[in-house]
Amino acid sequence: MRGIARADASRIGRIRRLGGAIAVVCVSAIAGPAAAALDPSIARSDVEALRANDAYAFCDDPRLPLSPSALSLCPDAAEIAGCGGFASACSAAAEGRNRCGPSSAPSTSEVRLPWLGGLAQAIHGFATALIWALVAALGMALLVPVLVALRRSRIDAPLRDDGPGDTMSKPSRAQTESAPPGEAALLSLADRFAAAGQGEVALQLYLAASLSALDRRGAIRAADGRTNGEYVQNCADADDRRRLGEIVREVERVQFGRYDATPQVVAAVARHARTLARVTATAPALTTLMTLALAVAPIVLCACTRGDPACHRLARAGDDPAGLELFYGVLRRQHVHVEPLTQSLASLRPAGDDPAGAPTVVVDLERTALDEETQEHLIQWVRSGRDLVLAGLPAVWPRELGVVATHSLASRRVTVHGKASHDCPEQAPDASCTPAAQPHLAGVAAFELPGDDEGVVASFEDGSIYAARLHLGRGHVLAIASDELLTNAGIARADNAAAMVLLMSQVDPVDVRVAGPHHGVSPPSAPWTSLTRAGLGLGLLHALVASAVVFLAAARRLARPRAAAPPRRRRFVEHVRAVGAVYASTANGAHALSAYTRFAEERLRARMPRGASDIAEFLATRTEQPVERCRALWTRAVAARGAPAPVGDELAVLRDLSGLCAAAIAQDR
Amino acid sequence: MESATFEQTFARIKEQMGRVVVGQQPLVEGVLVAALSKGHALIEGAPGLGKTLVARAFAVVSGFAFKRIQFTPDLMPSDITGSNVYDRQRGTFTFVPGPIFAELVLADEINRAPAKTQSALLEAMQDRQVTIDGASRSLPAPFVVLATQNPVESQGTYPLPEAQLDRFLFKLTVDEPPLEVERTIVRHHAEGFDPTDLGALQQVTSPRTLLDMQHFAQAVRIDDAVIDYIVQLVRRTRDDKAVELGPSPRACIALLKAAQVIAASQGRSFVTPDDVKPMVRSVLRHRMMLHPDALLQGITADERIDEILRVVPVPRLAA
Repeated sequence: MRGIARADASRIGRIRRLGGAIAVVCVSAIAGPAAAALDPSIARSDVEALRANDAYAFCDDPRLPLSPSALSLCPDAAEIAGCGGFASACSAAAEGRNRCGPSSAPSTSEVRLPWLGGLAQAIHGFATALIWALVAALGMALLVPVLVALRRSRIDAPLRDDGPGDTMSKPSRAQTESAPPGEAALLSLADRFAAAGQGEVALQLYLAASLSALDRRGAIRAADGRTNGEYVQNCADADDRRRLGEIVREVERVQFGRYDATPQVVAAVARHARTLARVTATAPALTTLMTLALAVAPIVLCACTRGDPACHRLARAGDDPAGLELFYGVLRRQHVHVEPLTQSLASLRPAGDDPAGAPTVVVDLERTALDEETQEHLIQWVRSGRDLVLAGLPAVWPRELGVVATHSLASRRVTVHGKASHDCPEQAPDASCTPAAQPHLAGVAAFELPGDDEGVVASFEDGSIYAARLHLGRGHVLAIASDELLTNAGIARADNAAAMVLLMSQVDPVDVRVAGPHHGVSPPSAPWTSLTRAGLGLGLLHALVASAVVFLAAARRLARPRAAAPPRRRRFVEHVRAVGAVYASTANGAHALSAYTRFAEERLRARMPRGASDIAEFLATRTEQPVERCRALWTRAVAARGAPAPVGDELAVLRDLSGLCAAAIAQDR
Repeated sequence: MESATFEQTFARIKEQMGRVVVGQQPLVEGVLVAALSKGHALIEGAPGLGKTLVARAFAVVSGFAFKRIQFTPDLMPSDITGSNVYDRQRGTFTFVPGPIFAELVLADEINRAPAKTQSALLEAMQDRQVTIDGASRSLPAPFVVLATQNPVESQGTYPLPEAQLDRFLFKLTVDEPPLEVERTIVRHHAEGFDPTDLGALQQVTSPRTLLDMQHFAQAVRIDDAVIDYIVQLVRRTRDDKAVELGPSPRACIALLKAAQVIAASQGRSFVTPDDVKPMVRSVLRHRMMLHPDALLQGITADERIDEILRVVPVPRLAA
C-alpha cells in the first residue's frame, strides 16, 4: 500500500509540474511578446559592434552621388569617427568635383572650358531630338507594314475567290509555285542578257523585276491570270504606272509584235526598271538602318549624358549615409523586432477594442511622402489606439497634430530626456528624468506645440522642441523634427545612438514596422488609378485616343454600303441528300414524292414540245418504256400530293420516277 | 488602210454613237467590234435599255442599209428571206427580197419566233447567203445581224438552240444604268431628244470603209503565245465541272477576230493578251451550257469565265 501511495504521489507531482508549465506557456501566449527594455547606455557599443562586424560602406565608400538626405548630413561628417570616405564625398560635393552629384556649383570643366558646357547642352538637345525621331521612326516602322498590308488586301479583293470556284477549279499556279527571285537578281540577269545581245529576254527580265518590285511594295498584286495591261491600270502610284506602262509597251512590241529589241529600247526599259526596283530596294535598307539606330541610341545617349561609370555602380546595402541599416541593427540588438512594412500606410487596420500587440510604425517623411488619403487614414489609425513614430520636417506633418514648424536659433545640440518633461518632478528628479543623451544634429528643424509643452521629450537649448510624444485619440505619435537620428550617419555619431534609443523608448516598441518610399500612397482603387500613379496616364490616354481613332476608322469603313457576300452554296447532291435525310428522319415519304413530282413536272414540261400536255406519254416516248407503266407511275406520284396517309411504296415510286426522268432529260444533252 | 485611220474611224464611230446612247459604252463597243470582226451580236437586256437604239444609231453612223424584223410567233421564214412571187404579166416567178437583204439587220426579240423561223437566219449569218427555191442569193457585204432578246419573259418564247447561239460572235448583256447615267438620259429627253429622230448623228464612215477595216483587222499579227492563251481559255471551259458542254473551236476563232479588232482599234499591229481578256465574256457566255446542278446553285456562265480567267496563266515570258 505504501508503494502504491508513493507512486500516486509521484504521478500527481508530475501532473502538477506539467500543468504549471502549460499555464506559464498559456499566460505568455495571451500576454503577447514582452516589451523590450531599451537600454541607451549600450546603444553606442551596439553601433560600434555593428560597424565592426558588418559591412557598412557609408563611411568608407559611400554611394555616389550623395542623395539630398545624405548631403544634409554633411555638416557633421568630419566628426563621425572612421567616416573619412563620407567626409571626402561631402567635401567633393561642396567643391563641385562630384560630377554625378546634384551640385549647383559650376564644374571644373565649365570653369575652365565654357564651350564644353555648351557642347554638352547641344549634345543633349541632339540626343533628345534623336529620341523623338527614333520614336517617330518606330511608329512609322509599325504603321507602314500595316498600311501596306491593308493596301495589298484591297488590291487582292478582286482576285479573291468567291467560294464556289474552290470546289470546281484547280489551284492556281501562283499558289503552288515557290517565291520568285528578288528584283536585284532579275536586274542583274537582265543586264547579262542585254550585254549578250539577247534583248528580248532582257526585256522580259526587266519587266519581271519591275513587277516583282511593285508587288513587294504593294502597288500591284502579281497573279498568274493578270495581264500586263491590268498591272498598269491597277498600279497605285501615278509615276510608277507611267514607267510600268512604258516598259510594258516596249516589251509587248517585241514579244507579240516581233519588233526588234534594239539597244536603245533595252536601255530605256532598263532605266525604268531600275527606277522602279531601286525605290523598293531602299525600303528594307531604311528599315535596317532604323532598327540599328534604335539599338545604338541608348548606348549613345548613355555615353553622352552619363559617361562616368562610377556614377552607376550597383547599390550596396549600408552604403547610403542616409540609410536606415544602423537603425534596424541597433534596435534588433536591443531585442526589438524590426521589419519593413509590407503594406501601404493607407491600408493599416485600425485597432479594435484591444489595441495591444499591434506593431509600432515608423514613418520617415524624408523618404516616404504621404498623400492626403494616406495621411487621413494614418491619423484615424493612430486615434484607434496605435503608436506611430513620425520623423521628418514638421512642415509636412499632418495638420491634425497641430504643431507649428520652426527651427532652433541657438545651437544644434538637443537634450533628450528619459521621460516626457511634464512627468519629471521639479524638486527631486529621478534618474530617468535627467538628460540621458545630448546628440548633436546637423539640422535645426524644430516645432512648437499650441498649448503647454506637455509630452516634450527632446528640445534644443533655446527651448524649441525637437521631439514630443503626442496623444491622439487612444494612440500616440512620437513626432521627431528630423530623421537624422534614424540614419546611418546620424546614428554613427557619438551619443546619437543613445538618443535614438531613448526616443524610441517613449513608445515602448516591441514590434516595429518601417515604412518604405512607396508606402505613403494609398492603394489604387482602379486599374486606371494605378496606371496614372505609375506615370502611364498620358501614354494610356494616347493609346485610348489612338484606339478610338482606329475604331472610328474601322467603323466608318464597315459602315459603307457594300455588296452582300454571296450565300454559301451547297452542292446539289449534298442538298438532295440532306433533304432526303430530313424526310427519312420524319418518315414522310409521301411528302418527298410529292415534292419530287413537282420538280420533275417543271423540268419535263420545259422540254415537252409545244402543244403537248401528257407527261406520261412524253416520258414513254423519250424513254421507250410502255406508256401504261409511265402513266401508272405518274398517276401514283401525282396522287401522293394530297394523300391523307402514306401507302408505303412512296420511296419505290420515287426511285422509279427518278430513273425515268433522268433518262428522259438526258436525251436533251 | 493605215493603222491610224482604223484607230481614228473606230474612235469617231464610238464618239458619234455615244451622243445618243448614254452610258452604254461597252454595248456600243461590242456592236462595233462584232461588225468589224464579220460577226453578229446577240443583245440581251430588259426592255427600255437602248438595245434597238444602239442598232439604229450604228446604222446611221456607218451608213448601213438598215432593216428591222420584229420577231413574232407567227413570223415565217419567207417573211425574213423573201420569196418567189408569180408575176402574171410576165408569167414567171420573180424574187421579192426579204428584210434580210440589208447590211444591218435588227432581229428584235428573236426568241419570240419559233425555231423554224429562227433557223432561217442560220445560213444567212454563217454563209452570208440565203437559199430560196434552190437558188442561193448572196447577201450584201458587210452583213451584220443584231438580235435582241428579253431575259425576263419566258412565256411564249422559244429559246435559241445552241447551233443558233453559236452563230453569234458576241452575246452582249445590257445592265440597268447607274443613277447618274439614268439621270443624264432623262435630262436629254427633257432637253428635247427624240430617239426616233437620229438626224443629229453624222455618218462618219461607209460600208466600203468598214469592209476595208474588216480586212485590215484580219491582218493584225497574233503571236503563237496569244493563240495558245486563247485556246487554253476555251479548253479550260470544257474541263470545268460546272460546264456540261463547252464552246466549240468556233469560239476560239471568234475570240481571235475580236482581239484583232481591239488591237487595231488601239493603233497596234499585233495582239496582246490585254486585247483578248475583255472579249472573253462576250464570246463565251452564250456558248457554255452549264450543268443542271450548277444552274440550280445559281452559278452563271460569267462567274465561271471569271474564274477561268483568273487561273489561266497569261503569256508573259518569251519561250
